Parts: sequence; C-alpha cells; structure tokens
Amino acid sequence: MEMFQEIAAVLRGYWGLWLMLIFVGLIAWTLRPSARQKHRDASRIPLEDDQEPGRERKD
Amino acid sequence: MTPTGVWLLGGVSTLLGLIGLILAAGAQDATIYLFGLSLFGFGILFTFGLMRRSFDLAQEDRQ
Amino acid sequence: MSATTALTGRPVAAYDEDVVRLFVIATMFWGIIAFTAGVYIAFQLAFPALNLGLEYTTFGRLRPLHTSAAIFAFGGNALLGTSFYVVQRTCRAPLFGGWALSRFVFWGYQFFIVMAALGYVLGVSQGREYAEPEWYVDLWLTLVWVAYLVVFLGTVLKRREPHIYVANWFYLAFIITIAVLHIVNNLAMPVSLVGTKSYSAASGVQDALLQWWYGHNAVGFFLTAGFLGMMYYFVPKRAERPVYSYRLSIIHFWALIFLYIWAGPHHLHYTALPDWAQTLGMTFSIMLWVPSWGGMVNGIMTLSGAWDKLRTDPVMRFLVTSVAFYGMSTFEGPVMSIKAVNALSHYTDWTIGHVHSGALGWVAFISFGAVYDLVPKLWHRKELYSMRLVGWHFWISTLGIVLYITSMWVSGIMQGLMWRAYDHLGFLQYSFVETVAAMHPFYVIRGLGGVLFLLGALIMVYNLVRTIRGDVRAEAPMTPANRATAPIPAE
Repeated sequence: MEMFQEIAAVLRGYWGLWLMLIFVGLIAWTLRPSARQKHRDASRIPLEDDQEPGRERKD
Repeated sequence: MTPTGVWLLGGVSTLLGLIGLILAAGAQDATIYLFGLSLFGFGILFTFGLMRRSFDLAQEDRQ
Repeated sequence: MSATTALTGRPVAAYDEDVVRLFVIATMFWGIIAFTAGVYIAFQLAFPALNLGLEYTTFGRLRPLHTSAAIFAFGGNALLGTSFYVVQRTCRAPLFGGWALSRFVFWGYQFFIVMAALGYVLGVSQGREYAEPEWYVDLWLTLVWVAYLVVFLGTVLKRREPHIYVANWFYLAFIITIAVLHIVNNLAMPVSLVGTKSYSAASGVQDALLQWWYGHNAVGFFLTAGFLGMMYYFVPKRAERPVYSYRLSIIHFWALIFLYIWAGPHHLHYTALPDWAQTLGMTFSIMLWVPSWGGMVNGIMTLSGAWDKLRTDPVMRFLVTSVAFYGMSTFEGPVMSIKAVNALSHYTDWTIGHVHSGALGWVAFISFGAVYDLVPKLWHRKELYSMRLVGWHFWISTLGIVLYITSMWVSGIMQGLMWRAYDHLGFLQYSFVETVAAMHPFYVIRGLGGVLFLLGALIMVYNLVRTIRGDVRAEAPMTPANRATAPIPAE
C-alpha cells in the first residue's frame, strides 16, 4: 500500500508530462494510417441517415 | 417507455409537487413561496400530461 | 409505440421527433425573448430613464435575465433539441427512456428557465455570472440535467451504428462537463431550506477562481463544444458532403477537451489570484487558438467544391458564416487573454463586443441554420416558406452584428484608454462619468444593431410559422434551376 502511495506521489509531480503523453498518444492513434477507411466511412454517417425507421413519411 | 417507467416518473413528479407544497407552506420569502407553488403546479401538470398521453397511446394501440 | 421494419428488416421503434419539435418551438420563443431583453437593456444603458424607476426593470436584474435567456433558454433549447435529433439519427436508435423521460427533460428545462427568470426579476441572485440562480433552482437543473444525460447516453449505448459519430462526442462532452461545472460551482449552504439565500462553499480568491473555472468552461463546453456538435452534423448534412477531415474533427475534439479546462484564470488577470495561475490561464488560452482554427478550417472546407451553395442556399450561408465568426472570436479571445492586452480590455465594452461576436455570430447563426434545416424535415414540408426571407434575415442580422461589435470595439478601447490616461501632473485625466458620457453614441449604435438582429429573428419566426402551416411563398428561386435550395427527400 505504502509503495503505491509513493509511486503516486512521484507520478503526481510529472502530471504535465503524462497528460501530454496521453494527448500525443491520442493524436497518434487518430492519425494511424490503418484508420483511414474507417474514418472515411464514419464521416458519411450523417449523410446516410434519412431512412427513418418505424415511421412512414407523411409528405 | 414501459408502463413501469411511466409510473415511476409519475411517482417522482408527484413527489416533486409535494415538495413544492411543503416549500410554499414553510416559505420564508415571497420568491421561495412562488417557486414552491410553481413546483406544485409543475408536478400536477406533468403527472396529468403523463396520464393523458398514456391513455392516448393505449387508445391508439386498441385501434 | 408503433413498430415497423427499417432497412435492416428488424423491428425498430420510431425516432422521437415530437420532442425535437417542442425544442425547436422553444428555441424560437426564447430567442425572441432573449433578443428583446437585450435590446431593451442596451437602450437602458444609453437612456437610463428606460429602467422606469422600478426595481424589477433595473439593468442589474434584467441583465442576467438577458444573458440566461440567450445562453440557457435560446442556446440551451437549440442544443438539447438538436442533440436529441442528431443522436437518434447518427446512432440509428430512438431516444432512450421513451417519450415520458424526454418530455420530462423538455418541460423540466423550461421550468428551470422560468424559475431562474422569476428569481432574477424579484432580485434573487447568487451574484455568480452565468450561474445567478440560487440553490433551489440549481438543484432543479441538476435533476433535469441528469435526466438529459440518461436519455442521451442511453441512446448512444443502445445505438445500432457501431461508430459514435463525432458530433455526439461533442454533445456528450458538453453534457458531462456542464454537469460537473454546474454542481461544483454551485456548492453552497442554504440559510434555510425554505428560503432563497445561500452562501458559497468556497470563499475569497478560491471562490473567484471556481466561478471563472465555471464561467469560462461554460463558454468552452456550452457555447463551444455543444454548438460544434451542431456544426459537425448540420454543415455536412446541408452541404451534402462529408466533413472535410474526420481525423481533424477528432483532433479538434481532444485538443479542446485537454486545453479548455485550464483557460479560466484569464478572467482574473491582475487580481488576488497568484501570478502563476494567471500566466497558466493566459498560456492555455493562446494555445486554444490552434484547435479552434483547426475546427473552423474543417467546417468551412467541408464546402470545398460546393462553394456555389453559399450563393444559392441562404441556410448554408448562415452555417458557414457562423463558423467564420467562430474563427474570429476564437482569435480575438486569445488576444484578449494576453495580460498586456487584458490590462486595456478588461472591464470595458470590448469584452461585451467579444462575447456578442461569439454569441450572435457563432452560437445564434449556427442555431438559425440548424433550425432552418430542421423545420421542413420535422414538420414534413418539402421546403421552407421562403428562401428569400432567409436571405433577408441573414443580411439584416449580419448588419446588426457588425454594428454591435464595431461600436463595442471603439467604445471599449476608448473607455480603456480614458481610464488609464494621466495628465502632466500625474492625475487621472478623466473622471468615470466622463467615460460614460463619451460612450453614449456607441451605446445607441449598439442598440440599433440589436434592433436589426431582433428584426431578423422576427422574420425567421414568421418564415418558420408559415413553413409549419404548409405555405410556400410564390417567389423567384435563388437560382434558375432552384438547385440545392430545398432539402433533398430521402428517396
């Protein structure tokens, strides 16, 4: 238990660093080339949402 | 929403109306008195709204 | 509820569009109230006799009424309504909790607005900017907000589309962060459980920092993240093309989330707040410029290859101009957060002008665009009553904003310079009342700008009411082929 508290105390001193690392990690994950097609598909979600389930159009 | 959910929300709304009455009854200033009465009104109207719509939907289902 | 089969062949409940319709009507209603209140208090500043000598209509009581009506009533209803619309569509799932819970969110939110306004007019206030309502209204809003979170998050969790579209990320960040901000900033001890007065849990400079941590993040997450959710749905939708860069939108999201929370101290430059905290707030505010402009570029470039829509579709014009105003105010903001600039701008009308370039140009314009796009779809009309009137609304409102912000720049900078002017003996050159007198013409111009903005909104309400009634105005189309003016039906 004490060991964890010591580790936490050390880490707290570097909060700016690990926050930065998480941020950079997120950006890198977003920019990974393998996600290109996934993002392309995701960006089309609002354009293909007109099939309204469960309700016949009244117009 | 499931009937149970509507009953539950109706209960909450009734309780809120009751809290409104208590606030109005013990009010120490005009604003909290008005707030209490309004909360009471909200609780009543919302509960009645739930009832009305539930009956409307039940009728729609029968037809 | 009725259930039929969608394309997937599985039975699904219908989207709840009734509640979205209610929110759209409320948006229009509160918009008019907010703009009218704003025009009225603007003229009060120019002609103080307009406060009628009554305590209920003094500037001090009507000013929070105006700000809350604009931000929470007009903006809030626009956000709640569009978020319910967007989350159902992009998650391809009906609202979680069904009709009863979403009705509670709607009526509960309206009740919050009316009770907050009642308190302001009767002189009940916590004295915290944008968080003026006392403890009992705060508790009520907390209840409604939790119900809102349950409906929104529940819908996201029950989604039938595997990916969570980026607009929903922004909406969710808005909902969660506002919950946290609202609860923490309003921690207070009521004097009595049957009285209005309460005392804040924090005191002194901690209390001030808490308030501006709240205040600036209300700007960041209510007036920015929430409306960015709107942008990331309605701009691509209206332009009929996907957002310029989906990756940029994700980076935009995370950068705002990581940076915004730290920017609040720039509201407390040259106060008792420690210097390091002021510098921290300034630094993060300047860094915010980058993701904000990334988002602006993303929104505007979505039109790349379809620029003609700006000419043919006045609704698109609203949406794109709003993004341009977003870019302008997110550039002005970081500049004003620099301590040297802030020394001149703080406590002057420049700040008011800055807020309104964001509130009128960005928040209101994107809401107008979204509402114009939504109304024909929600009421199943082929098109708006009149595209020409949308064009009139656009230009009248834009002129109003230009009058507003330019007069406030001149007035604010003049005010700041007069406050710091010394004569050759080292005395202050101007008394306070001399600065007030000097600002009078600009207050009149600002009021006129507000009148124009209100006039534009009234044109919108007329146009939308006629649209809802099913009327179509006989008018020349925006282009010979009438291209892209009407929303394209699904089939």
